[in-house]
Amino acid sequence: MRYLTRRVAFLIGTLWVALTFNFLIPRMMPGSPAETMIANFHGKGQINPNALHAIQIMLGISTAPLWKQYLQYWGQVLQFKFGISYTYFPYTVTHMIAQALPYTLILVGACTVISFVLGTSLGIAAAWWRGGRFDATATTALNFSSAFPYFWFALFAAYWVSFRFHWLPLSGAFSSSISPMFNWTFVSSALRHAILPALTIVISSMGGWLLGMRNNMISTLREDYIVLAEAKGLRASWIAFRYAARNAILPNITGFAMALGFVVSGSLVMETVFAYPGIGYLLVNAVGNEDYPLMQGVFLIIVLAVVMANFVVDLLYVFIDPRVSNEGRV
Amino acid sequence: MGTPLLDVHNLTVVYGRTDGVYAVRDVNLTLHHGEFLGLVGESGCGKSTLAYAIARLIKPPAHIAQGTVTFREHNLLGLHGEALRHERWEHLAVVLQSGMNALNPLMTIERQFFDVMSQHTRWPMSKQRERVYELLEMVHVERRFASCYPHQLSGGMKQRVAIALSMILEPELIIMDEPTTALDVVVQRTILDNLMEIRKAREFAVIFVSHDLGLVLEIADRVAVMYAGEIVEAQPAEQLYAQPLHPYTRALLKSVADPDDIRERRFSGLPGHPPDLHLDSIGPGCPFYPRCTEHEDRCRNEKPTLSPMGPESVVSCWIRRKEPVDA
Repeated sequence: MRYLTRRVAFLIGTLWVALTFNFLIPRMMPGSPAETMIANFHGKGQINPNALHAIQIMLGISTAPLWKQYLQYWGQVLQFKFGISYTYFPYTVTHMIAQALPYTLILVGACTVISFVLGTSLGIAAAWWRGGRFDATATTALNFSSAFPYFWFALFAAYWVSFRFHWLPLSGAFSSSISPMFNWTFVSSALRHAILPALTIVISSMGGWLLGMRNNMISTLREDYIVLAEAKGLRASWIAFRYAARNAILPNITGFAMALGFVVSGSLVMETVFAYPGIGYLLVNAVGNEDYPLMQGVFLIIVLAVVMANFVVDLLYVFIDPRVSNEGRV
Repeated sequence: MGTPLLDVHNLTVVYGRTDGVYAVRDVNLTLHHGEFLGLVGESGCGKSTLAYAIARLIKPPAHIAQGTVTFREHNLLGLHGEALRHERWEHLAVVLQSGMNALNPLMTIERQFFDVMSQHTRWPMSKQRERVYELLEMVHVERRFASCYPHQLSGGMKQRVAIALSMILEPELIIMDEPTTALDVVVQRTILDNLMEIRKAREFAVIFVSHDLGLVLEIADRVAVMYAGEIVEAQPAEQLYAQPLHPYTRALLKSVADPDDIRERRFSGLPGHPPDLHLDSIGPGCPFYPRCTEHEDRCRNEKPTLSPMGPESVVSCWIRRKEPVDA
């Protein structure tokens, strides 16, 4: 129980610090969104001060002192309202995020899970038959594939698979001729659009899971309790999973939970390369257009997701590693 | 005495390739049912490697280069798969050097007993549980610790649990590799007393590997002394204490503190280091020759073999062989 209270206190502290930074950072950046907007609308030219003021009011840009803005900001955070997006005027930030989030969650989330499950399983196999043919092939191949820069790999795949051979759609989350509705036409189109981004993510990230698992498990296999398990005449599969993999997987579980937290931030590069309308894409646009409310909104949910993921890992550890909560002392 | 329980013949264990380190060289050893054999020697003499080799726990790069191990009248080195799995723990169990690390940190104590029982027997859960309590009681660990994790137990308790674990299926032989080395002398004493008490109640043979000759002399029936990968002397414990044969054993005995006659014996260390066991640095003569105080010319060039010196004594030493055997 004390462990839980400590974790919750830590969670609240982290959130407060992170959200305060989220408030401060955009305000410390040079440039003004209203000016950028007018520049976008009219090209170069003299800006009428009245017009500027009108735009500021329209966008809800506050000229109040910082502390007042800070209080207002907390009010917004608690209500999940971040005002109007400058870029996607007149849509609200909440609306934009709600629209982008499902794409990111489904695509990047599924990729993270698949990549973790595949990579970790291959890692277990590679460690168990270490030095064998499987280890040599799988470890080398995945080491190789995770070594190329992702942007290059994604562009390479997009160029050959989509642009040259037309096997799969090149960009977007669904065909531009249909509108997002929950029916088979839309779902099948969305799936076809997701295949290539998903493949590139899985191929490039699986190697990390494999290597992590393989290396942990190889050092676990050197432990005395593994020797004893063998001496006990236990079945090989039992030793491999219940003794070796079970004990070696802990760092990978932490990594996985963290990765799940970062799913929300999307995959910036993937979403840019494939023009995939997820959170990452939204964030890139927001930054490009000095869209503070949108940036703040996106950062807020990223922070929330990452911090919550950490919190969940901490709680999970109580169950998967009895050594963590040291209260069970008899 | 009948057929021995264990018969090790010309066993050689090499680390690395054939020109690697010869950790165990041409070892011959027999062990009878219910016998308690102490295997002593300084660090790096190959005693643990020998014990691991007998238990079939040698891992690459080490491998058994030569020799046979006959256990319960069949070839232990020829067993594989299920046959080997059933031989293990049902007939031959081990207690490892560091009981602390020999228990899986993520499994409760009782589960580490259950998995043995469910993979070797058809005992129902109620019987398995009963057996855990019985064994824990035997090593004086309270029942409530059965559902604890290893980190909740003290070092001494973990070592007791490791001993209890080895006795689940009542094997004929338990190999104990320095089972008390990591513990302080008081805990060490209680564990050994406990072990002797258990041995009174049931018969099983023990190979007790230790660097502590004083301790081994006290608990073992017979003591084998290893030097540079070879057994250089083996005698019944009292006889070895009263009349050590090999110069190495004599030197070891001089370094043992006996509180009863500490004034009579003079302590002395043994200068020098154990030899390098790489194939190309092993000389033609007696491996102990450079540190021996009694050596003669022959010792440098000719290797002595283990030869009988009495009904139950063997030694490999040129000097001792020349002397008449005491009646």
